[in-house]
Amino acid sequence: MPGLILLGASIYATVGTLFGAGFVLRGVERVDPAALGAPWTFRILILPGVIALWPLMAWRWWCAPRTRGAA
Amino acid sequence: MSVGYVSVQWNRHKRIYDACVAGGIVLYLGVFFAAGKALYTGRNAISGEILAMRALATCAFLMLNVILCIGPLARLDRRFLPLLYNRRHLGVATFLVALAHAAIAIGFYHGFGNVNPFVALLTSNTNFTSLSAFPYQTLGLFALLILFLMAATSHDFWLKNLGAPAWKRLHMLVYIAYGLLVMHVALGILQTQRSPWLASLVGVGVVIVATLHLIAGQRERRHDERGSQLSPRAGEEWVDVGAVDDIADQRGSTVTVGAGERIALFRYNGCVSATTNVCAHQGGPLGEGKIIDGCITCPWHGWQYRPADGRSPPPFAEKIHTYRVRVVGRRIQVDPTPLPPGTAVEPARVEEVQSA
Amino acid sequence: MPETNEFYVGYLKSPRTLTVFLGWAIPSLIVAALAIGWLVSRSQNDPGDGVWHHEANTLVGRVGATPYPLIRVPSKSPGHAAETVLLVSEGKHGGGERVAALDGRIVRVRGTILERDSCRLLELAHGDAVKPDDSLTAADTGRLAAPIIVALGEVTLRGEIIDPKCYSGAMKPGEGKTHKECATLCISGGIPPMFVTIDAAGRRSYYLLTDPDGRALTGGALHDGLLPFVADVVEIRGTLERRDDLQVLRVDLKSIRRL
Repeated sequence: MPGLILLGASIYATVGTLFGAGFVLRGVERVDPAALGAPWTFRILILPGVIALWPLMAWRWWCAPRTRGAA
Repeated sequence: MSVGYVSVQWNRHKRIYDACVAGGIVLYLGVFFAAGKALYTGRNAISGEILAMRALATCAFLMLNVILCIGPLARLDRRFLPLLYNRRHLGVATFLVALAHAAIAIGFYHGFGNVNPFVALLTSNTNFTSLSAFPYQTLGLFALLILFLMAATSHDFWLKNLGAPAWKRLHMLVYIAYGLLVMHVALGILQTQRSPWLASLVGVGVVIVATLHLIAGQRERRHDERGSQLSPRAGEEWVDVGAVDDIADQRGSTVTVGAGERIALFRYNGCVSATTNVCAHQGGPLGEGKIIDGCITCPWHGWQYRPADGRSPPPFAEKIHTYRVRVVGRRIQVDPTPLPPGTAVEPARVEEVQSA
Repeated sequence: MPETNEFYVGYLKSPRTLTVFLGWAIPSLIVAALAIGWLVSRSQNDPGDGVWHHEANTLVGRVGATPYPLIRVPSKSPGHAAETVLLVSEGKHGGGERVAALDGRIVRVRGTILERDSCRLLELAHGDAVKPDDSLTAADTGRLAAPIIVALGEVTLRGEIIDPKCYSGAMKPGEGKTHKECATLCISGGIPPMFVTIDAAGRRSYYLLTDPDGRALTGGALHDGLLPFVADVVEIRGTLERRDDLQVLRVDLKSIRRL
């Protein structure tokens, strides 16, 4: 059981990290236009939160309008 | 206020604030560690790792107590508002100190064994039904997760993208983290500690935090209770909310009408305007703010709105609710139905009487 | 000073009265925190006088794999023919596999000594730290032939189940609630479980814990019967015997209860 919890947490964090890398590079500007041209320090600063809340941010990215930002 | 994001919106005050926090942490850790090394020597020396772990633990717990006191203190005495100004950096620092404590504890106590330290953390003590033997580390782990979530979402990006209400709720979890940590201490180190000092200090901390919250809460409640007696007369939309002369020039005041949201009133340049009392940033009390450069300025972080339309001056784009307002004689009357955020409302003119 | 000037905005210059207030309030807060740090640091429990001698050491004697890995060396004190030193490995690991093949042989072991009171352990060095040896005199070899066992009857004791490695100096402190999970890991990793009692005068007595047949506690008996009680204040019952200088308690696991 603890092994399963740990495995689940590792998978969640790994997916979150992969997603997070893509999100802070491209998605963030689509979700929030105020992030257009934001410095890399800002992107690193929000990365832990994106990893923790990646399902939410993935959904926000999915729903974001496709005409602006990095697209 | 959000235009384009930067990593940290530094200014002189934040630099001084952070220097005090960093300096305080380094000094505290140094004093704790040095005292432990100096007082327990030779064969009776305490392991360096354990001293470091305890220095970090007590430091983080102390910081959390301070953080929880800042809110009510600033409500009770405005001179503490500067401590609130950069509280989130203090919060992030607390998380980092707690993380360092956890890293040493997990490495030292759960490492070097025949199982993964994280598995050991979850499995090596399962006495969940015993109080004295309770696996108090799990309490610390959950508290650390909460502190992590708070630290990770402390940037204004999260405030905007989670929405202020959700962000606020998330950050209210700090009280659960505090409760968990009090139990983490009570069921952990206090089970073996022979000197009464630590237990007494933890008790004093809890009492101070609770008392300040009760006093500040009581004051807010009394304010709202006074307001609950205000309501429009039958068939009328206007409510008398007080005298113009009760508000100093370029200042605000707060009223509650019925069971509604608090309304902030501002008197400036011979006008009176009414907006919501809730700042769009972190819910700061705008009515306790001041008109600076013609804008309502929040006492918490200095976010600004034009009183006549509740909009932040360009290039900022924040909007707050406004209320219809009029002045009859020297009395202010408000229509307690909030208008959509950013709605322009003609400020009520005040006949300025020349005081003799 | 007009009241309207005393409004603090983080990005503007602070009102002077506020700067004065903060000028003493913040340093006072930091000084108070330092005082608390000093007070809490000095009120920590004494961690005990266990000591880990980090210089390498060698012992020559008869190695035993039961009930737990140990070596019996010729005694320097007149009371006993042999002194017992428990053998453990690095980290939270027992010395089991490294000793098993040479059980009963005269060997030379290499490592570092941990000791507290009469409790002594040797952490085996890396590599082949246990090697057959023939440097003992015939007389010494004879004294180590078999342990002298004295049955001491049924006893009920109050104290704490410890892992003797940490307790004897690997961690300071290596006892009590905060060390509970570490001690649990040590014992489940093969470090022999011991029981320590403290009498009214503060003298500590050490007991090596075995199953009712005098064998090492392993498997379910260890994990379900003993480990949940490690580091707690407990009462324990069993049959006591002395083997050379070592007190061995054959534990009735069902008798253990938290106090």
